[in-house]
Formats: sequence, C-alpha cells, structure tokens
Amino acid sequence: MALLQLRGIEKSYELGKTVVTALRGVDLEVEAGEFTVVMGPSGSGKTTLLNIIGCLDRPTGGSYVLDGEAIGDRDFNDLADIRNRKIGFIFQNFNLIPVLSVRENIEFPCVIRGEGGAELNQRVEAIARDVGLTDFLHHKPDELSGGQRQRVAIARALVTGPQLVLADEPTANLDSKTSDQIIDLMLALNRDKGVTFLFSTHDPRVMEHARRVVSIHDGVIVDGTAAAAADVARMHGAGTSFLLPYDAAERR
Amino acid sequence: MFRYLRLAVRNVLRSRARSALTISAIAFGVWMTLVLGAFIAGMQNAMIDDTVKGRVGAIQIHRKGYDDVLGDQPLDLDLPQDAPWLDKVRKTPGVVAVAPRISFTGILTNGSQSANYVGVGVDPKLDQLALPLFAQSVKGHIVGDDPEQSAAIVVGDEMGVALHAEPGATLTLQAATASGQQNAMDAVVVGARSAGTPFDNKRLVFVPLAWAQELLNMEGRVSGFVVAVDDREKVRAIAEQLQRELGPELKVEPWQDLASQVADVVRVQRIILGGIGAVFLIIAIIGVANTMLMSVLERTREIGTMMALGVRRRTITLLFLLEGMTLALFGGGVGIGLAVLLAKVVGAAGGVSGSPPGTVAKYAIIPDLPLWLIAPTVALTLLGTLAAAGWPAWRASRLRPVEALRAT
Repeated sequence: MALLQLRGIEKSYELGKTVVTALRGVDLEVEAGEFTVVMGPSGSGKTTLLNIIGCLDRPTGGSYVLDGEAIGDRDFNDLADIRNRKIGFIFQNFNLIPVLSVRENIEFPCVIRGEGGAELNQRVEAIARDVGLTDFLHHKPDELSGGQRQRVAIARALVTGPQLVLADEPTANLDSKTSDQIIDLMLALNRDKGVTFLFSTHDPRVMEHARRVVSIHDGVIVDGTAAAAADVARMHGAGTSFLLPYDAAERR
Repeated sequence: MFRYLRLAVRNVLRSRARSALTISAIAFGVWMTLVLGAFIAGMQNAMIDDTVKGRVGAIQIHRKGYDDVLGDQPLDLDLPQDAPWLDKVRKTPGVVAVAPRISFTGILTNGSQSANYVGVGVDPKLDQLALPLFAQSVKGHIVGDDPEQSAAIVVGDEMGVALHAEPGATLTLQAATASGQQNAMDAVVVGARSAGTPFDNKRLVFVPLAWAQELLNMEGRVSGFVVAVDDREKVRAIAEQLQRELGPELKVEPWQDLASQVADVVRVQRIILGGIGAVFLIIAIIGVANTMLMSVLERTREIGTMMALGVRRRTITLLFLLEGMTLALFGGGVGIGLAVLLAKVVGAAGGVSGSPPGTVAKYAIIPDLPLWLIAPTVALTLLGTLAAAGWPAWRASRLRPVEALRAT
C-alpha cells in the first residue's frame, strides 16, 4: 500500500464573494522511499497540495490516507499529533525558533511529545552529525548561515523518524552552491536512510536529481513526463533541452 | 513544563525594551499600591495602637446594659473592684493586664468658669499596664506619678486652656454620688492630655480611682475593667472566650465595638486603597495585554511553525500565559522589592508624622506591609496578568497553521 493516497482532492477558498478553486480532483500516490518533486507555475496549486498532504490545511472534497490512516475530519489536536509523528517539514524560510539553540530546535518536535533524556540527546547528536552540524549545536539560528539553518530544519524534520518529509521550496533562499549541498544531503538521506521526500520547487537543479516529477497546472495533475519536461524546459529557458534522469512512472 | 517556562522566559527577554517597559509598568503599579497601602497600614496601626493601648483598651468588661447607656456613665450598673471572676480573666491565655475604671459625669470649676466633664477614675499602676501608651498623650505628669498627691488629675488640653488650668492649678470637681446626692472635691492639675479626638480633649478628666470612689461615695466599686492582650489580632477571639466564661450578666466588648468609628475608618481606608490599587493594576494589566498582543502578531509565523511541528492548541495558550506570568513575576518582584526597601528606609528613619482622619493627635506613621496587603496585591497582579495574556494567548491558539505560516 502506498505511503500516501489522495483521491479526488479538491480545495476551494472564498475570497470575498468569489470562490477560488485551487485543486480540482487531484489523485496522487507516493510510495515509501520515493524522492518526488511537485512542480508547476505560481498559482498552480502545488503549495496547497503540500499543505493538505502535511495536514496543515483541510481539503473541501476527496479522501486522503496517510500511512494507512484516513485523515478525513480529524480535529486540530489529532492532526497535530499526526504531523508530529508522521511528517517532517522543511520550509523555504527555514522557520527555526530564534530563541532556541540548534540542539533545542532539532529536539523541539520530540520535546512537545514528552521525550527527553540521554536517548534523545544521542539521537539529536547523531542527526546533527548526519547533516554536518555537530560543531554548531549550541549556536542560535541567527549565528548560522542560510545553508546551516536549512540543515537545522532538515535535522528537525528527521528527528522524529517521520514517514514523510515535506519540503516547500527548500532551496529558494539559498545560493547555488549551498542549494547543491542541501540537495545532496537530502538525496543521501533518501538513499541511505530511506527517508521519503516530497518537494515543491521551482529550482531546476532539484529537478536534475528528482526521481519522480509530478506536474500540476490549474489545480490538476497533468500527465507526468511530457508536462514535467515542458515545465523544466520552461524554467531552463527557451531552446534548452533537458532530460529527466529518472521517470518514476516508468519505474512503477 | 519547565522547558516551556524556559522558552517563555527567553521570549520575554527577546524584546528587551518592550518587556522592560511592561515590567516597569507592572512594578510601578505594584509599588504604588504597596507603598500607599504600607502608609495606610502604618497609619491604621498607629490609630489602632492609640485606641487599644492609649484610649479604649483592647477589651472592656461591664455589667450587661452598661453599654446601652454608656454616654450617661451610669453609676448604678457598677461592679465590685475585687470581683471573684477577675482571677479567671487574668489567667486567660493572651491577657496581660486588667485595670479597673470608674466613669462618671459632673461639672468642674476654677472658681470663675465651669465646664461639664466626663471623669475617669484609674488605678495608676494597673492602668499603665493596660494602657501603656496613655502617658505619651500627656504633657506634665499622669495620675499617680506622685504618690503623695492623692488628688492629682489630668485634664484634656483644650479644657485646660479654656479653664486656665495649668499644672499646679486647683479645680473643684462636682458630681452626683451613687445615691444621687451632690458632692464636690478639690483636685490639683498635674498634666494636660492631647488625645486622638476632640471630645477627649474637651471633656475628659482622669482622676485617681480611690479619689473618684470617695467623690462618688462608691468605695470598692467600679464601672468596669480594661483588659490588655498580648496580640492585637486575637482581641476578638479572647473577648468571645471571656464572654463565654463570664456569662450573660457581664458584657465583654472588643475595641472594634467600643471604638467603632476607628474600625469604620480602617475599613473605609482599605476599600479606598483597594480602588486606587485596582486602578494602578488595571493600567499595568493593559500594558501586559498590549505587549502580549504585539508578541502574538509578531510571532504568528513562529506559532504556525510550532503548530506544524505538532504543538497542540492548549500548549500554544500555555506558552503565552507563561510569558504573561513571567512578566508579572518580574514586575511584581521588582515592585514588592522596592516597596519593602522604601518601607524599611522610612521605618528606620522613625516614620513620618501625620494625623489620621477624625483625630487631632500626631502619630509616627511607620509604613507596614502586612499579609493582607501583599497577598491580594500579588494575587491580583498574577490573575490580572493572566487575564490580560489570556485573550492574546487564546487568539494565538486559534490560528490556522496554514495561515499562520503565511504570515510575514
């Protein structure tokens, strides 16, 4: 069974007297261990899709099953627990808590569910080692570079051992060299530890490494390879040819 | 909980200038309330001490019905000076002295001028034990200072001025005896008393008990007894115990009933203090509400991040309440500390001189910070701050994660 299954997901907003439809019957399945990119132009609905997958927002129609649990009409606290147990988040703006040290930021998702002690310390230190932050555990976020902050966010997303890590444009605020490092780090985590990543991004460099691309236009997922290749080509500029290194649809 | 408290403290320290202003507002409110209260408490202490140790006594014992006609100083409702139940009174825990008194009325004259007076016959030695502050209100000597002078009297200072009764002057006191006959005796003025109330200064005359008994032809008889106790806070309880033990033929009254105007002043002052304190605290609490609201608005995305990581609504509420509580504890601590410091300094300097309402005497007012003042101030500050932080905290907890994360 797929890690996540979306069936006929719809999402509409009321903006004054106007109803805006962001998602129109989205079907999507993601298997455990995938490294998937959701791409599409601005306003296409990809962030809305990620918000629904991350249980941060509710669909107005359709069904969503995550790791065998129907999300449905769960209340706020149930959704908070699901986010805490099953999902890690990496944000475009890092979203670290500025008054907490790197160690405290990383362990925060565990602390709120009552964990602590030596076992947690060891886990935090192991993850910090994986993301290259061992020497920065006592620093505050404002003492770190952008790349280091995103590494903290990645460590925080992984510390609970989630089934799924959602990354919303994680390289948008990083320079190209740091972006490459962050992408390499996430690829390594996916390859070595089997972490499932689902991205939304405009960054063509992420696309170069993606093993599956989901393209979304006007709230509808369009057929994988051709549309995705067109999106990638558009991002690289007219006349540039670009081949996806991996097509998850074929793989399946 | 400790981790959340630590996080709250760090968030308070994060906007240092704003937190400092809020803490200052709370500290000022608490400080003003406590300082005002400390001086009022000091003044009340002086008033009550004056009443309990200088004028009325802690407790008085009379025959039943005496207090109904107290203004008439009735001689027929008298008691034996050596009543057998006096031993029981003296041995009651908390009682430190029992002094007999006889009260009467009459006219006194200096030969050319006369005035109505209320006489109080006192046992010099026992009265000093029962009313140790009495002598402080007397210029010159008190009754009994000179054992050779059996007819020494102390008059109210305004009466003394009106009758030109300087120390050494002789006055003739006329009074009706217990059997209704008129009697008059000469006495020598040895002192003038400036007491707490105009009535005392214009009307009261203190005479030796034996001399009064002779004037009134009431040897061995008294109007009642003044009882002193070791703890002012236990007066009412001791009075109730004595009343139970002495039975219904006697009336035991604490100072609160005997000098109800003093008790009324104390009560009214506390109500006014409560009102003024509430205004100061409300101003401080509005400051807290403003700070917390700003904090929620500024940290909306951070709240969204916490929610995304799995923080529940009640934890978000708790975090902001703890921040409010931290501000209150810092502000309250500073306010209490400064108030205690001021009270100690003023106390060490001997207090300030002042006259409570309705009195003419000057008291040395030593600022006092009793529990009845500190406890409600602290409790109201904490509760008020929690209430002030409550709405912003609730508002923060009701944010939708997806909208909070979009905040800039």
